[in-house]
Amino acid sequence: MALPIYVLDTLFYSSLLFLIIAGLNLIYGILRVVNLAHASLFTFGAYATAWITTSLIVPRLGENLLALMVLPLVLAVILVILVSLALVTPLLRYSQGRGDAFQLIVTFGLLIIFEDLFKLIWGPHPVSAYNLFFQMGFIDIAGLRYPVYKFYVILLTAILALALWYVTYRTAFGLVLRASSMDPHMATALGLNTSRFLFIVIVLASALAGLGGSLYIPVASVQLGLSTEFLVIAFVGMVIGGLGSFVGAVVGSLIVSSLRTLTLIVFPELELVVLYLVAVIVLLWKPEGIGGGRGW
Amino acid sequence: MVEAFRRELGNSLAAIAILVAVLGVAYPILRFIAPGYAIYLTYGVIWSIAALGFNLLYGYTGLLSFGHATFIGIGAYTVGLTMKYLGLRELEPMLVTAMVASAALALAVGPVVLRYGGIFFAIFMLAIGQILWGFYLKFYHVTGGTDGIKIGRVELLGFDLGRIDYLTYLTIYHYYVLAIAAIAYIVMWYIVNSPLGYSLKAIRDNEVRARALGIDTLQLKLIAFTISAVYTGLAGALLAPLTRLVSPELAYWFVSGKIVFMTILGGASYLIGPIVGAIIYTYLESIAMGYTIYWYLLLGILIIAVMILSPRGLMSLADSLLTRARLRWGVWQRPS
Repeated sequence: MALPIYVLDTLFYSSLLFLIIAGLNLIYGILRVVNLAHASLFTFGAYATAWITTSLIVPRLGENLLALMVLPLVLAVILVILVSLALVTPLLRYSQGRGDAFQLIVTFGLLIIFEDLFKLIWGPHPVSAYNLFFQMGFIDIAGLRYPVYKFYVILLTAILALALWYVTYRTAFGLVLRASSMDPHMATALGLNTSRFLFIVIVLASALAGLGGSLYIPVASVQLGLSTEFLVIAFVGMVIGGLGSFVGAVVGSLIVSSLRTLTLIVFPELELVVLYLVAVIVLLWKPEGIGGGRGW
Repeated sequence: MVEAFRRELGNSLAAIAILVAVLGVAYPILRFIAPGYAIYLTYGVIWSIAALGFNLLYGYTGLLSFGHATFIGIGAYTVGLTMKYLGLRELEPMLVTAMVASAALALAVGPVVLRYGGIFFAIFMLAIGQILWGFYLKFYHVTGGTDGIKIGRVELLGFDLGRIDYLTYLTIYHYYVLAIAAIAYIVMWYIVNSPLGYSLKAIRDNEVRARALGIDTLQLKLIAFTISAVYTGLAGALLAPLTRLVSPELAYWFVSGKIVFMTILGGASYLIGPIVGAIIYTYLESIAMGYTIYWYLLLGILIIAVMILSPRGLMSLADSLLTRARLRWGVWQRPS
């Protein structure tokens, strides 16, 4: 493989990671908790998209490019938001202020509930839907065929990240977001309705994770255990970038993805070991993370 | 007075003695009335050692680990690999090796994972568990991958048990495990009632204050972490002859969650809470698995329910019931 391919694949993977880490950081920024069930929403988005694509879209509308691009994504994200509203949001809100251990154990309970829900609904075998991937076709890069779909994902995530940046730093909502993540008590004291705010943040974070899963499924299959795989990698990104910050999510996902590409070339067995060693080095050198400041 | 009563119920040598006696007597009774369920008592006793080790960190030091399956894996694979490659069959040296290996791993990763507090510790442990789990899968030419390593009969205390029938072997193994567990329980009682135990509780209640009082918190946490690892590694090693197969499944992240749940189910603030929790959990799991393949789903709901309805566990329910009964019958005076 040529260098441009490596770079593009790294960007593609970091796009997916960004969508997970941004949500984890949003929730951490406001609630000061790592939601162990967060990556499950990513997996849920992937399963839902595969299911919508293969059993709703393709039989009814055929391999229509536009329908494949828009419908599964939108429907899956809506489904993820609904599931998040039913299961994740109430529990996260209930567990707020009850201590790290409580929050971690409860979200762990959610994680295994999700794991079995996937098995219950979609069975124990890997599920995939490559339709969109092949419909989009390939282009030549450095003499090799490269899928257009990956460009699409990179572009879409970049636009989304920009939008998120704009909302965070240029709108009143962003101001409130940053204020309550820097100092929740002061934000409440100044008259902000942090409870309603919390609700919006959790839904936004869930939607991002669901979107990530939806974008992931056309290139790979989804199976049980995928959630923890992504959770454990996403946490490295949180630590390297800085817990709870937007810039941290960008920096963290890019660094983790680059490291992952490098280790997969050199010694694939040690992928996680290398990632965690780097996380530890970053912690020793800059405990607040490379892109971290205070809060989102 | 309430504190004294709590100590009596959940944190005394008498309670441990009663528990061990019950676990010893229950085995032949179960063998007689429900033969299929007797082996789960042995499993329960083994898991109780792991949960007890876990709780030294969680209940006494305030550190939540989501990766104790790491040490279960270390213990089980120590037995598996020594049997496969060294042809060893005496269990005792393997138990010692498993404990030493667990302690070595804890001492190696402890100074890093313990440094950054709650959430980091929980997830770093989860990650270490996943890393080792990945190793067991990927280095299949050594570990047998998903097929795992088959475990034959072991020799206990130098006796060759290869020729006796399997049920007798299981019975002997139960009492062997129970004897080791009894020692582990008593040692844990000494630990939590020693100056070390009190210092750990001080760290749990207020780490900044503990440090201000001159406690080297990082060092004590490392000691607690190592003891915890040794207990869990021992449990992993004892599991191997019973499962007869050492596979990556024993080190999967779900197992870590199981240990967490056993502890909170029994009650993390009682010494014998994790023991009670482990026994009850093992039976819950074995019975539920007979009816449904969706045990994770049930367990997840149970975890959340216990955390919301009774975060102090079953022991605290028994505790409050007993207190109420005693007040009612006037054995004790209402604490003023």
